[in-house]
Amino acid sequence: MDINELLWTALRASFVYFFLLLVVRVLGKREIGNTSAFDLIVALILGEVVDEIIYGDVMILQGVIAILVVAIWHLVNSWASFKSDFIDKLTGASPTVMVKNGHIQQKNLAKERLNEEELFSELRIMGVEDAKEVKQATLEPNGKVSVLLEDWAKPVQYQHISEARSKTPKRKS
Amino acid sequence: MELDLGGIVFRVSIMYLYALTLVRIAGKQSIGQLSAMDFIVTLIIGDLFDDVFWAEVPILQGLVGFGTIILAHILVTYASSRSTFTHRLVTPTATLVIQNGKLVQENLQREWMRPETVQFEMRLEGEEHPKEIQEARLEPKGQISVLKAPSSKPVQKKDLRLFR
Repeated sequence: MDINELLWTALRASFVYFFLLLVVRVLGKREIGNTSAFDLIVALILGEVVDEIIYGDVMILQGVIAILVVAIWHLVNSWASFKSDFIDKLTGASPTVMVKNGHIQQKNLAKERLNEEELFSELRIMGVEDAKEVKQATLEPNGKVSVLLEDWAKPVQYQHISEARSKTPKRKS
Repeated sequence: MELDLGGIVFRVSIMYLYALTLVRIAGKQSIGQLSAMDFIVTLIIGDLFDDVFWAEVPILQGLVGFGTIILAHILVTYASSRSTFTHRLVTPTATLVIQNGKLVQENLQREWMRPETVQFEMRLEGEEHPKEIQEARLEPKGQISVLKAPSSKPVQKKDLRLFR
C-alpha cells in the first residue's frame, strides 16, 4: 500500500461526501425525513453503498449511477404517491386505530401483529396509564403511536380557565 | 483456512478507539439528529468499518477514508453555522403547512405532501383539529412542528392571575 492509494482514498471520500450532500439536499426534507419506514431504508441504502466507492472496489462512475438511480426512484415514488391515491395506498401504510373511546381494538392489534403489552408500553411512554383516558390511539404510517386524550383527561388549556373564570362570581377585594 | 482471530480483535479495537476519538472531536452537534446529512454520515461511518474488520482493506486506508468523511462533515457543519448562505445551501428551510387553523395548500403541493400526512403528524403531537393550531411547519429534518393557538395552549402559571 503506497501513499498514492491513501491520497486516492481521501479524494474519493471527499467526492462521495459532497455528492451525497447534493443528493440528500435535492431529495429534500420529506424524502429522507422520518415519515415512513421506507424512507429509512433508502437512507440506509445510500449510506451502505459508499464503502466500495471510497475503498476503490467499484469505479466512481458506477457508484454515482447506483446512488442516482436509487434517488430518482425515490423521487418518482414520492411524487406518484402524492398524485395518486391508488399508488399511495399501494406503497404507503395507512394508520391503524388501536384504542377507540377507551376500548382496545383487538382485531386491529392482531392485524398489526401487536401485543397488548406493546400497546400499554407505548401508552406509558406517552404518559398514559389507563386506556380509558384515550379517545384514540393510532399506529401511524411512520410506525409511531399517536395518542389523543378524551376531553376530560386533557391537561387544562387556556380556554378552559377563561371559561371557568367567566362562570365563577368575582371575589370582592 | 486461517481464522486470524487476533487480527480481528486488533483491527476492531483500533477502529473503535479511532471512531470514538473522531466522533468526540466532531462534537455532538455534527453526528447528532440535526439533519438528514448527519444521519447519512452516521450510516457511512458504520459502513466504512466492516471492510477493515475483515481485512478487505488495510487499516491505514480505513483510517484515511473515515477521517476524510468526518473532516468534510466538520467543515460543512462549521461553515453552515457561520454563514447563512452556506446554511441555506446545505439545509432546506422550514415550510408552513398550517396557518391560523387552515392547511396551506400551495405549500403542501410544493412539498408533495398529502393532507393525511399532516393529519397523522398532528395526531403525533396530540392534536386532532387544524383549527386548534396556529402554525405548523415541516421542519428541515422532516418532522412537523406544531404551535398551538393561544386558547388551546396548556395553562401557564401566569394565566392563574385571571383568578385573582
